[in-house]
Amino acid sequence: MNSPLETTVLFWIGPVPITQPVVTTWVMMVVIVAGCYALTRNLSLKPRRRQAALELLVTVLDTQIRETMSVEPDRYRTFLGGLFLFILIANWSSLIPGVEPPTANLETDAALALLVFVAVIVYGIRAGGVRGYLRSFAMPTPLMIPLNLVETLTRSFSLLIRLFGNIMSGVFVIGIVLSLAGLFVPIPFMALDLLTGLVQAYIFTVLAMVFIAAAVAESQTSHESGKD
Amino acid sequence: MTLDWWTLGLQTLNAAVLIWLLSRVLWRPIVSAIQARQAEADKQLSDASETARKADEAKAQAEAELDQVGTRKSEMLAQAQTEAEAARKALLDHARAEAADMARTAEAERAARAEEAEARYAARAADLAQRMAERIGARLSRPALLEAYATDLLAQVAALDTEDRAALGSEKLMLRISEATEAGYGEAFADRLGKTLGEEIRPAIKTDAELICGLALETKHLHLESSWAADLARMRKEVANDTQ
Repeated sequence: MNSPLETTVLFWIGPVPITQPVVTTWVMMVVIVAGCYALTRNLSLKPRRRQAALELLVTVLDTQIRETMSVEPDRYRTFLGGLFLFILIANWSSLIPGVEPPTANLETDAALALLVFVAVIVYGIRAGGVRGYLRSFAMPTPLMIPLNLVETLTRSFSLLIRLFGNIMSGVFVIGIVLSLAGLFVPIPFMALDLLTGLVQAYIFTVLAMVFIAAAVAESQTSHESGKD
Repeated sequence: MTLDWWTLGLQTLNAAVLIWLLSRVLWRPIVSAIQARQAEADKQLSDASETARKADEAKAQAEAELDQVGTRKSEMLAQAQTEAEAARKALLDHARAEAADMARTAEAERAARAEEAEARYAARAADLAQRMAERIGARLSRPALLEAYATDLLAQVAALDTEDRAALGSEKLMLRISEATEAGYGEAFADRLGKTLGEEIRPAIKTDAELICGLALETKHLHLESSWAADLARMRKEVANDTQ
């Protein structure tokens, strides 16, 4: 068993090493996009069970965004919903024998945290402008600028560490149990991994919502106070 | 522990691309379907509201027309009642007039019939009286009665004016006697008549039972009679005049 902190390079494209998480992610992307394309064909005004389930997913997501961020979900649904689906499918990919979930890899989680970090900045600037967003770091007093900067970095880093730690530990535990006990013993741990994967995807997405909502609110407040 | 920056970059790119692709193939179609259904529901609600509004208008219009029909019905009923009352009154008046006419006609007929019956009864009573008088006359003393009538006839002759008395002497005279009396009675009466007129008279003598009892003198222009039949005819006429 390889160390979870190491990535296996499968092949090279020029100078670019193509590691296993990347290939797994590509396969997963193809499956997700093809599945979503198949699911969303022939939607009608009178929904059947499949369409009703998809609309329920969107409705739940919109409700979560509305309740957490206190804003209309149209701008944020694509990013947050895509983030949730990516993490969830990636986490649950561990159920397929021989597949290591991409989220058990540090670079994948770092990429997701990086996207959230960028999204916070983009949505903050879109809400209050560059000056408003930058001014939000000086709220409530300029003395808080270092702390706010550190907080922005550390909360993204916490996202990375939380997701990586939970998913990697699950994979690691299953690997250890499988090597020690036998074929069917890890099944309860895998079931637990299903729950863990769902919870972690939910936590990651909700925290992203909170961070973006905070940035948007603070940026708007700074923008409006700057006008005054 | 090292971080593979190439993998980090590729995974960042992969996640961003997947998020973009999902926006195309997942979120947008579902949201479009939800919005389309919401728009359709809004449209149908709007149509339903419009239909309900039109239904309310139609109902109000129908109720107004119903009220008009009710008013018109009341007016027609009142008019029909008035016309019926007028027709009933006219029929009643006509019937009363006809009944009055019929009553008058019946009364006139009844009066005519009563008058006719009374005349008929009077005639019958006269007939009866005449027959009774005839029977009574038959039981009386014929010579004495005849003499009384002869005396009365002579008195009538004596009461005539000069011209009529002259006519009795000059014209052809007929003496009718009610019954065959003793021989020579007619000539004896002629002598008494001649004495009354002052000249000799010889009339033609004829027996006439219709006189019942009495005598009669007749010329071309004069008729004198004194008899039971003449008395009865006179009395019948007087009774008839009395009953009228």
